[in-house]
Amino acid sequence: MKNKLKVLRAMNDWSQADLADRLDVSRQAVNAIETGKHDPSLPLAFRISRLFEMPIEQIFDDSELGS
Amino acid sequence: MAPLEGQPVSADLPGTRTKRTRLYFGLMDLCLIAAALGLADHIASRLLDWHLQPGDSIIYTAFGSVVLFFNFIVPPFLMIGKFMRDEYAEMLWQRSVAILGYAFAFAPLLLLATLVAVNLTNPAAQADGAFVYLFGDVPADWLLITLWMAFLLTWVGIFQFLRWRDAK
Repeated sequence: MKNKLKVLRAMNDWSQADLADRLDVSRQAVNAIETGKHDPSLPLAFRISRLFEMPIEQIFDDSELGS
Repeated sequence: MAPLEGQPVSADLPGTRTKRTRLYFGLMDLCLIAAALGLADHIASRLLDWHLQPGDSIIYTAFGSVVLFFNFIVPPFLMIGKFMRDEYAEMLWQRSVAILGYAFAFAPLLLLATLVAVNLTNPAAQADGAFVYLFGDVPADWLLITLWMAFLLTWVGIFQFLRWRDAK
């Protein structure tokens, strides 16, 4: 799933490790989400949403998944 | 839409889950190295008839103890240590176990096909029993340890390969 995590992280000048610490996941998890190789669980998506104070649908784009 | 409210995210300090998962990945790295070293030593002792025993060398004994610890104690712990995995590590675990399951589902078929091929090409082998012909005078305990080590090495290898591929 496409997402803006990398852009949002860059805007805050955070490294992947910084973001991983804030979300309480591993750096590898952040990398996998950013590259679209892992779709976060709903609880983690909510944590990301709260951290960046943005709605989930503005961070994650599910248009490729179809309806 | 207003920002979502609910559980606060951690702000400064790394969470315990992060530390545990970092340790999990670190132990996985060590297990892969130890599994490769252990398997190489095990095969060398068989094929090259190289039988350096614990006690022959303090260094070998110490090194071997560490390798054995990461071969037989740590991997089973990592296999069941769900509390150490974050959701990404858990996903890697599920994918690696699924691949391992497929491999073990088809491995016996491959073995049986090999036995049939051996029997067809060499009918005399049937008299000795196919497994005896295939494994010769391999001791059962050696075979068990080799299979166990191969199982752990395969699982650790698959897990690490998937992790490496995702990181590319």
